[in-house]
Amino acid sequence: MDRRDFLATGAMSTAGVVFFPGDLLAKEARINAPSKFPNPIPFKKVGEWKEFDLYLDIKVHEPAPGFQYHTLAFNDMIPGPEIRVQYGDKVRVKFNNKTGLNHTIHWHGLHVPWRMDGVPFVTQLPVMPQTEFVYEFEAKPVGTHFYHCHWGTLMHMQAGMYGSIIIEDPSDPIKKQFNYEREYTLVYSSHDVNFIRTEMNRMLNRMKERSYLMKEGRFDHERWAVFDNRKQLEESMKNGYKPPYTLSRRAPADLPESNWFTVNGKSYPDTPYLFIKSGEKIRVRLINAGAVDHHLHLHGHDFWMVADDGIPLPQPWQRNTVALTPGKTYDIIIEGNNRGIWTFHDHDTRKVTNNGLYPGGNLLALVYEDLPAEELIISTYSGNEMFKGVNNMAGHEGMGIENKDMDMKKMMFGEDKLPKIALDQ
Amino acid sequence: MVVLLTSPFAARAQSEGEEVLPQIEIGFKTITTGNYYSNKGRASLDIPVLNEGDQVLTDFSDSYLMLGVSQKLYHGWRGQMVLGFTFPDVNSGLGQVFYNQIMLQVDNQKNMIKLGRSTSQTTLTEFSTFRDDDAVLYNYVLNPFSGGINSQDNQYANVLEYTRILGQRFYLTFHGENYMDFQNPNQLDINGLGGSVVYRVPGSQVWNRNVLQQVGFSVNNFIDTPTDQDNGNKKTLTNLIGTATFNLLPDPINFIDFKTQIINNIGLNEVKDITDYTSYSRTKSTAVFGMLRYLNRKLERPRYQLSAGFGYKTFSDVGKDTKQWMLISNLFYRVGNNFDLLFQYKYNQNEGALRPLLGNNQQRFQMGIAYTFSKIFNNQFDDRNSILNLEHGYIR
Repeated sequence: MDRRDFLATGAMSTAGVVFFPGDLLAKEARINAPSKFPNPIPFKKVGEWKEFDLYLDIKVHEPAPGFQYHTLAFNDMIPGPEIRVQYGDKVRVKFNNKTGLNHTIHWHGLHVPWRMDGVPFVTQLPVMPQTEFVYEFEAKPVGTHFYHCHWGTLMHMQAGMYGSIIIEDPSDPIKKQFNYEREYTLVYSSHDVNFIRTEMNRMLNRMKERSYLMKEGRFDHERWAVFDNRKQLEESMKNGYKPPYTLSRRAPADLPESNWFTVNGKSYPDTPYLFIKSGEKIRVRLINAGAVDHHLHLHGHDFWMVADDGIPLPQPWQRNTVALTPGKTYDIIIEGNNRGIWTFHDHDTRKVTNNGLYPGGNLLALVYEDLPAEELIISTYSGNEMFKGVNNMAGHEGMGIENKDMDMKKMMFGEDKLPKIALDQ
Repeated sequence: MVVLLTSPFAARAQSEGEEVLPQIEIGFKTITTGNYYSNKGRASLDIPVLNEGDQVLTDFSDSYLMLGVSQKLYHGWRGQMVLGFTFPDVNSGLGQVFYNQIMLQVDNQKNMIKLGRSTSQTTLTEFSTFRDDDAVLYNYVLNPFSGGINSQDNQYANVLEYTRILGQRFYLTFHGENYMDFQNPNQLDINGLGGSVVYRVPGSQVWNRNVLQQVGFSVNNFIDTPTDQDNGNKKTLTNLIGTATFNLLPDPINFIDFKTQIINNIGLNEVKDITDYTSYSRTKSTAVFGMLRYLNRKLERPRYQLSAGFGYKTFSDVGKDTKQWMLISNLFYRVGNNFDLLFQYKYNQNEGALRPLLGNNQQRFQMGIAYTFSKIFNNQFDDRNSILNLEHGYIR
């Protein structure tokens, strides 16, 4: 074996295998864990209302180390903060649009008054740049839901305008049945960052122009591409107006094709970890706020499906893979009955990539906090023949290694423990 | 050994992995016009437009095809390659096609370095004429090494440019060139040096309604310029450019701007008469050119554009009666995406010592169509001057 072959063998040892940072059991990892989940937003009690402040601005976001793109961020976060209320609460959300674009907020899965549903030109006018809109509704039904922008939805949602809203039931049957204490929210999304960038620039350009005309009172329904009724649209078309789509604004080939996949706004290796203890049950709220399917698979366990779109299932059932389609929410219960570190990932492995490179994207881990540290030691527990044989390889002819005492294990595998961060491409 | 290390083969041998597909941009313009000339007075300068009399022909000069590829480099830099050619005027001495862009550029947020055949710094402003060279005697610094039979000698050169960008809008450029030398076509030394400072509002911010769109100043030196009178002595010929663009009515529907540029050729003291193109480009002169443009846009797209321009040029060392002036006016009417009907009228008047060289006057009426197209494939990063990069944090 010459040195070239040796290096190739070394590379093969990690190809296709995913490891997680070895400090998952460290105190710091558990302390930092909450920052990887949607941050609950505090409320002010104003009379009978629970009042929340949401603002929106354009922010540079880093889903994984070394990659940044421009996003539309609620309260400077991707995803937006988690709104957590009790069933029946009077909820008031003051939405302040700090961007140069139009927006609304749609409360996905909630039974709000129709004028609060956030669909532009159907239930309300768009929230214009630098203006505020107040949403008021009663929190119902119970369960896991989310909110998102409904203006320019194709771009605005994948640009970051989504967040979880959890309506708690004081007599939650799931809580009674499974008696869990800890719960986690995982918001999935997918992003074509090139589409986001191009489209956001276009929208900002158009809005600069339109804002000028609006201020001068020279805006009209043709320029706005908004008509009071079909007759008005047809009259305009007879007079020479052409709807934007007839001018080939965008060819179908330019429709977004996601190249980044995130969980709570982050891609592997920055994705969150689910901590659990042996014998413990945890509730995980799964939300797909993106535009592609995710087939989520948990290694080493069957989990309980307990709620669908927030609605508790009368008869929970067990499975190890769930298809989380766009707009869906599922709640699952994981029982800590198989101590270890287990991957929980999209089994459509195209989505376990960052810009096409594996591993990345929707890849995270279920981590047992009571996993003894010594179980992480490779040389003791892994049974990895290559690892055991490394020192012997150092003596082979053709290795090009002059110093026979060099610690080959250290060179090839780093510290003698698992897991590790693997970015093998 | 050095050869091995620097050869493309050696570089390729070190990178057997898959190559990253760059961002690819393709752009072309096809412009075809029918021209009607009316020329008064015989011109000695052998330029087709001056001597071909009244005629109508199909003119597709200035059409071009360009291919550009670019990709991210290490440490926040970007690299770009452009390969392009244009179709010059007939009998221009340049052949059927002229490769006007064969260049590499590397840049980051604040620096740009350009190397290769590319657009030279002989003008600071693009005026809305049919073709870039429609007013070349007024709005370009003239290359004194040129024989004067084509305009590309003034517009393009083999360049080495460095630009520092300050505060997103100030462009400080230093440049050296190898301009085409008519008498010594194999001369490849640097024969141009200069610098410029330009304040320019990025196009993406035009609706912020800045009245001052651009103002700039530059110096262009042609070094080792031979003079007939000095029997081989060579001197430096200096041209100064000042330019300004004003958005008179920065309105999205009815947009009006005015562009102006003044070129002061410091001249060579020995050249006090104009007998040929060499002396024309070397004697002291001052050229002023201005163009008023009205752009009508409908539903956020150009609809039609009207422009009117005026040029005036004097030659102080030759005499007050030696001067030239021109009027130019045109209309672009958009009949479909990227597809325009064109109408242009140009009148040029020459006085004094210019008449034997350039004739008395020329009128030129043109009608035609133009199709322009530009598309980026495999888009993977933003432009420096996008709204996002300018106003919401630059991403490397």
